[in-house]
Amino acid sequence: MFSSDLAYASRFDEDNWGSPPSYLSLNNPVIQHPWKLSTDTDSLHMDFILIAEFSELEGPKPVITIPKDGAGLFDISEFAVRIMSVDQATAVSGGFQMTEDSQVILSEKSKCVYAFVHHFVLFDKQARGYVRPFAVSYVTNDQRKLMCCYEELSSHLKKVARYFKYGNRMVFKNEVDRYLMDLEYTKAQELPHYRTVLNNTQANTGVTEKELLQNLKTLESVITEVKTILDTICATMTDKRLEQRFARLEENFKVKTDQQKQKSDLANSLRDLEGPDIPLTQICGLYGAGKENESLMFFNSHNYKPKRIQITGSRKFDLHLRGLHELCSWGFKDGIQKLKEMHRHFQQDLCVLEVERVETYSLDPLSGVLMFGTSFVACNFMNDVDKLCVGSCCSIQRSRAIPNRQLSRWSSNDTLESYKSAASSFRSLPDMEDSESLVSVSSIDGSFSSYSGKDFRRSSEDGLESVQTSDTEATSFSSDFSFISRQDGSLSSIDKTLLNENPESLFSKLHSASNPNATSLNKSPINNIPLVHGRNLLHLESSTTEPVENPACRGCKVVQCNVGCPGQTMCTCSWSSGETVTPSADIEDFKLNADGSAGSAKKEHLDTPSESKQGKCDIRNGCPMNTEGLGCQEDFEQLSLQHQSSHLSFKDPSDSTNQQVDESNTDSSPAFCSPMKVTGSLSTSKESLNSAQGIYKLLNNYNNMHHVIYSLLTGRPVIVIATASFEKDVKEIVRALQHFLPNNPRCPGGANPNCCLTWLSHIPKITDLGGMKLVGVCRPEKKPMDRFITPAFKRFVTILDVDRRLLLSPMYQGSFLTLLISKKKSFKFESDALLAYVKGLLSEISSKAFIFFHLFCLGGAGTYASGYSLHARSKSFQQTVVAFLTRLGALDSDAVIIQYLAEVIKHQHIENHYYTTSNTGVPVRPLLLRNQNCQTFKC
Amino acid sequence: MVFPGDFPEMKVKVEEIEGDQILNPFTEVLILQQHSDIIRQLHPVGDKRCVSIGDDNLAVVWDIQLCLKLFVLSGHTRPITSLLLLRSNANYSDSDWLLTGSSDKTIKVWDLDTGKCLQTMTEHGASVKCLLSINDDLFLSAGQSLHLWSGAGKLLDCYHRTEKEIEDINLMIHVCGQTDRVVTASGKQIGVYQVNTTTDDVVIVTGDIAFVKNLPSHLEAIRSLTNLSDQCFASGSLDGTIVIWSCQTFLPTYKFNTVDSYQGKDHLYPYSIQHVLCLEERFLLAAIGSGFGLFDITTRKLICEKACAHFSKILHMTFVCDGAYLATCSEDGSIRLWGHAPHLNSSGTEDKSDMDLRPIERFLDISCDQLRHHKDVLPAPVLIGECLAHSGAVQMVVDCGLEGMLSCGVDGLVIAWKNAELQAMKRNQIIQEQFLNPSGIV
Repeated sequence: MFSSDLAYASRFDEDNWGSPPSYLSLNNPVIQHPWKLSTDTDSLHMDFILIAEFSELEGPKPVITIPKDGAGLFDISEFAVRIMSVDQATAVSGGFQMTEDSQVILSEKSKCVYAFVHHFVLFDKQARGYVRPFAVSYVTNDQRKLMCCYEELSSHLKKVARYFKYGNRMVFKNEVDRYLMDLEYTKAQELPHYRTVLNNTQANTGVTEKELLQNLKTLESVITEVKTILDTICATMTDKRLEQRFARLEENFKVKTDQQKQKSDLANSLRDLEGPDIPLTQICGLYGAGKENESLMFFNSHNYKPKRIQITGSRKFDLHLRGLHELCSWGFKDGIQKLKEMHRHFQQDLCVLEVERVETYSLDPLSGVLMFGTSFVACNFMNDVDKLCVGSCCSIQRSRAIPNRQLSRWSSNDTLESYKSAASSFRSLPDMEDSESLVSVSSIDGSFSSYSGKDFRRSSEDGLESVQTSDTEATSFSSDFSFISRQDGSLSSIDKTLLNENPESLFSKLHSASNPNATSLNKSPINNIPLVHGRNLLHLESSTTEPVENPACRGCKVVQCNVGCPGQTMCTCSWSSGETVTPSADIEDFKLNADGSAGSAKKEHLDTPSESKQGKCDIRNGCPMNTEGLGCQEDFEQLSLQHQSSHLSFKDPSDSTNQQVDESNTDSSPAFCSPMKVTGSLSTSKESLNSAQGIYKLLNNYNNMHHVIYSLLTGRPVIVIATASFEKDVKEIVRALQHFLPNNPRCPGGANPNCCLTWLSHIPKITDLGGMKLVGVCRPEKKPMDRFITPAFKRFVTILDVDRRLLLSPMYQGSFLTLLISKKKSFKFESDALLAYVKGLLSEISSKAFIFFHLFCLGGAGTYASGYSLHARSKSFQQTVVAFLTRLGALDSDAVIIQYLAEVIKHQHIENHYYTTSNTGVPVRPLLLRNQNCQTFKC
Repeated sequence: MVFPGDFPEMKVKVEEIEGDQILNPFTEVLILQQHSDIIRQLHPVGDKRCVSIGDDNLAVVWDIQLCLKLFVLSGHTRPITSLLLLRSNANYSDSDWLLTGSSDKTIKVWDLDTGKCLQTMTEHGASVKCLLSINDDLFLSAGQSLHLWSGAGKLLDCYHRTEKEIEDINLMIHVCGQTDRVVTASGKQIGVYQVNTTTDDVVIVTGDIAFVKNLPSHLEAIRSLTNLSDQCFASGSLDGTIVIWSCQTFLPTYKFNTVDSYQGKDHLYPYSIQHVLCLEERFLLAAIGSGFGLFDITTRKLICEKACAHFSKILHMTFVCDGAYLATCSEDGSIRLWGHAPHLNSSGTEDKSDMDLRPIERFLDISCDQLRHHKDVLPAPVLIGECLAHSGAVQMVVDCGLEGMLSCGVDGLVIAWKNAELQAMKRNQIIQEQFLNPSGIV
C-alpha cells in the first residue's frame, strides 16, 4: 500500500510536522467510478482542486486547477464565481486587519458537484486595501467524500493555507519594510527641500508651499499606516519552523543557482514546480512583475537602497495584479506541493480512502511495523495494544512462577472442563517431560479476571447478541502458552467478533460503494458479506477500468485474513487495528475460530468476470490455526497435524473457475485466520510487475534461493558478488531479494537507509554489517574469491557468487520457504501472482512472529530462564522458545526466522525508545552468528 | 617446561576450527565504534558499563548491556596509557571516578555518571605510564618518576628515580605485606617501594614513597606482573620465565619455564610471557608465546598446556562463562575459546551440580580432589570456538559474566560477544518494561 517513495518521505521530509504519514497513497492512476459516470458533459470526470481569486480587476476567477485539466468540461469560471460569491464578511473597519480563514462546503446539486472551500486572504502591497481574497477548494462529485473526510480535508487545507499565508506574509513584510525605507528616505529628502522652499519663497519652483506641506503630511500618514501594518504583520509571524524551512529552501536554491541569474531561475524553478498543472497562460505575466530579488523571501534589508518615491494622495490600482507565486514565494511552492499530494490522495474513491484510513491507523506506532523490502507492510506488532492491560498481565505473570498453582487453578475451575484435558495433554507433551521446562513454560500463569471496560469489545452484526466482556464475564487469561476463556461454561456458544473500531459503518460504506453484482459473487455461507470482500470489490472496481492491472497483484493488497465461525460475522481479524487488541483477545479469537470448526475463513482474491482470463489466485493461509495449541485446545496431536497442513495454495489459473468462493474449505481444511492485515504494497502496476518478474526470474534462474532468503529472514547479511561483467545480474538479484528483507525504513532511530545496496565497488566492512543486510559487490577480475573475502567476514555473511554460481549459506530446513521453491514453477504466466504469493507467505510468517512476540516475548516466559551459568540459562531459554514455536508450527529454520522477526520488532522498539528519549545514541544492532554450518550450494 | 617449536615456524600445527561451533556461547556480536586508533585497554565498571582507552586520546564509556555509547571522554592531547577506577567514596563524591593517565603528562579525573572532567592533575610532569590505587583513598602514578596522590587528587609525595633507571615504570602492583608496598617493573628491572601515610581521623594528611630495593632482574623486559596471593606475586618476562616472588622477603621462590635460547629465530621471543593470570591464589595461567600453560603454584607442577594455540602471540586471556572456557586473544586477530570436550551424556541435570563447581574445576572438568591426586599433565584444552571479527591484533578480552565478553583491538573496535538467547531474553525484559509499562504503574 505504501510506495517506496513515501516510505522514505516521512522520514526524510522534515516537513512532516509530526503528523502521521498523511498520504499513503495508492499511486494508482486515477480510477474512475465506472457506474457513476454520468452522461452529462457538465459533470466532473474526476476530483480536482481549484484555487480561485476574487480579483479586484476582473472579479471572481479561477487561478489554478490541480491537476491541470482536472476540471474537464466543467465550467470552472462559473464555479469560481459561485465559490467566491460567498462573502467573507471582510468588514474592514479601522484599517488593516488580519482576516480569519473560513471553510465552507458548497453543493451544486444540479450538476452533482460538491466542493470543500477554504477561504483565505493574502496580502499584496499593490492591491486594494492590501488584500487579495483567495479560495482553495476541493471539488468532487462525491458528496459523501467531503462529509466522511471532512476533518482530514479541513486540516490539510488549513495546512496548505498556512503555507500560502505564511509565505505571503514574509513577502509582504519585506515589501512593506522596503516601502517604509523608501518612505523614510523620501521624507528625509523632502524635508530639506521643504525648508528651502520655505526660506526661498521667491524662487518659484512650481510647487507651492502648501502642496509640499500636504505632501509631507500625506507622507507622514502613510508612514504611520505602514508602521501599523508592519506591527500587525510581525505580531502574527511566529512560526519559526516554517521560517526555517523557507530559509532552507531558499538557501538550497541560492546554492544551486549561484552562477545563474537568480531572478529568471527562480521563475523557472517555480515554473518547474508548478509543472504542467498550471496553464501557461496563468504563468505568463506572473513572473514579469517581480523586481530584482523581489521574489526572494529572505532579502537583506541592509543591502536595499531606498529610493525616492512619489507620494500621491491616492494609490493607483491599474497595475497588473501579481500571481500567487509572487505573493507567497516559497510558501507557494510548498502549498502547491501539498495540494498535489492531497489531490493524489483524495481523488481516490471513498472506499479506498476509508480503507486507507483504517490501514494508516495500523501504522502506529511505526516501531511496531514489520516491513519487508521497501514497501510491504506485513504486520504491526504494537498497534493499539492495551499497554496497561498487557502490562498488568505480565506483572502478574512475573509474580507467579509456580506451575502447580496454575494447573490446580485450571482443574478447580469447573467451567473449564475442556481445559483440564488441555492441561493434561499439555503435561503429556513430549517436550514438556522435563519438569523444569514445565516450570518455564507454565510459569507465565498470571490469570487475571475482569478486564472491564476498555479491553475486549466484541460485537456482532445482524442483531446477534453483542457480548461485552466485562466484570460479569471474567476472562481469565493464563500464561503465554495458554489461554482460557470462561463464557457461560461453554466455549462453543461464544459467538463474537473482534471488529475494528467502527466496523459496521465501515462495512456499510464499503458495501454501499460496491457493485451489487460483484457482491453477489460471494457465495459465502456466511450471512454477511465479509468486510474483506467489500475490500476486494474495491479492487474489482478498479480492475474493471484498468484491465491491465492484474488482479492478483492488486489482490496482494487485500490479502487479508478473516475469521469465520458459524453465525459469526467474518471480520478482518485485525490484530493491529481496533481497540481490543491484546494478546489475550487475539488468542481468544483464535480459539473461537478453532471452535467453529465448521466455520470457514478465507483469504482470497476474487476475480470479476471481466478478468476471467487471468484466473484466480487463491491463497489460503492456515497458519495461525496453530495457535489453538496456545489456546489449550484439547487435541494437540491434531494440532500438530494442522501445523503440517499449514499451507498456501495456489491454484493453477487454467483449472480454476472464477467468481466462486471456495466453499470447499468449509469441510476439510482447517479454519484459519491470520492475525494481521496484510497491507500489501500497491505501487504502480508496472513497478509491481517488475518486482514480481524479478522474483520469478530469481527463483527460476537460480537454484537454492531459499537458503539465501532464509539468510535474509534471519538477519544474516547477504553479499552478492560478481565481477563487473555481471553487474546487471547482481542488481537484478539484489532487487528481487530485497522483497524478502525485513526492514522498516520508516522507523525513527532504527532505520538504515543503506540496508540494501545493489552495487558496491568494495566489500563492506565488518562494522557495516550491523545495518547492511543485502549488498551487491563488485569483485575485481584478478582477485580470487577466497582472497576477496576474509574468513572472519565469511562467518557473518551469506555469499552468493554469481560468477561461479556458488552459494555459501546456512542451510534452510523448514517448510515455509520450501513451499515457495516448490511452487515457483507454477507462476509461469502469473509472475505477479507470485508476488502476491510471496507476500502471503511473508505475512503468514509474520503472523506467527506476531503470536510469538505477544505471547512469548511479552509474557513471563520471555524473561525467564532457569539455571545459573550463561550456558544453562541460554539452553533453558532456547528450550522454552523451541517448545513454544513447535506448537506454533515453526520448526527448525522456521523457528529461527520467527525469532528473528520478533527480534527485529524488539530492536525497532528499543532503538526508537532510545532515539526519542536519550541523547547517548541508539543501541547497536547485533550481528548474529548462529551455530550452524555454512554449506556450499550450486545455484 | 619447554614449548616445542621455533616461532614462527611451528612444528605443531595450529588448530583450526571448522564448521559448527556448537559450544560457542557467543552467538551475537555487537560492534561498538568510536575510537579511531588502537584501543589499549578495556575495563569493566560495575556490571553495566565499561571504559575503553585508546591512542586516539579518548576514553569511551560504554553501556555493555544495551551496547551503546554513553560518554566520550575527550580532553587528553596524547594517547591515554592507563586508567584507574576509584570507587565512590563518601568522603568525596557519590559517583565513581575514573582516572586516566596520558602521555600528555596529565592525569584527568572524570565523573563516570556525567562524563564530565572533574579535575586535571598536571603535577606529574612526565608521561604517565601506569596508575595504581592503594586502598580507595590513595593512588600512585608512575612513569619516569613515582607520584603519590590522595584520593581527592592532592599530591602527597613524589619519588624521582635515579638517572640510571632510564626506562619508565610500566607495570605496578600493590602487594599486601605488613605494610603498603608497591612493586614496579621498568624494563627488566623490578623495584619495590614503600608507601607510608599519616592520617588525621580518616583523612590522609601526608604520605611519602620510599624506595626499598631492586629485585634480581629478568633477562628481558617484563611483560606481566601479577599478585598471586598475600604471600607471593609473579612476574613474567619476554625471556619466557615466570618468577614467583615472596611478598615478605622479596626473594624468588620459584621459576617456571626457563628457556635457554629464549630469543628464538629473528629475535621473536617465541616464549615471551605476555600475560599472567592467577586463579584462587593457587593456579597460575600464563600466556607463553602463542600458547598457554596452567601451573599449580603449590605443587609447582604444570597442570595442562596448549602450545600453539594461536597463529601469533597471545596478548591477553580471561576465563569466561564462569570458568567454563578460557578466552585467549592474540595478535592474529582472533579470540579463541578453550575448554573441555562436552560429555556425550550431558543432560539437564548436570547444570545443578555444575553450579557448585569452582571455575577451575569447570574449566578442567576435574574436581580439585581429583586434581590433587592427578600425577600427570592433563590433556590440553580443546578448542571450543573462535571469535573472529577484529581486523587486527586483539589487545584485551574481558569477561562480563552473563553479558558475555568484550574485546578490544588495534582496529579501534570494541566488540561485545554475547549470547543471542540471553540477549533476546533481555530485550523481552526491556520491551516489557518500556512498552508495557511506560509510566511505571503496574
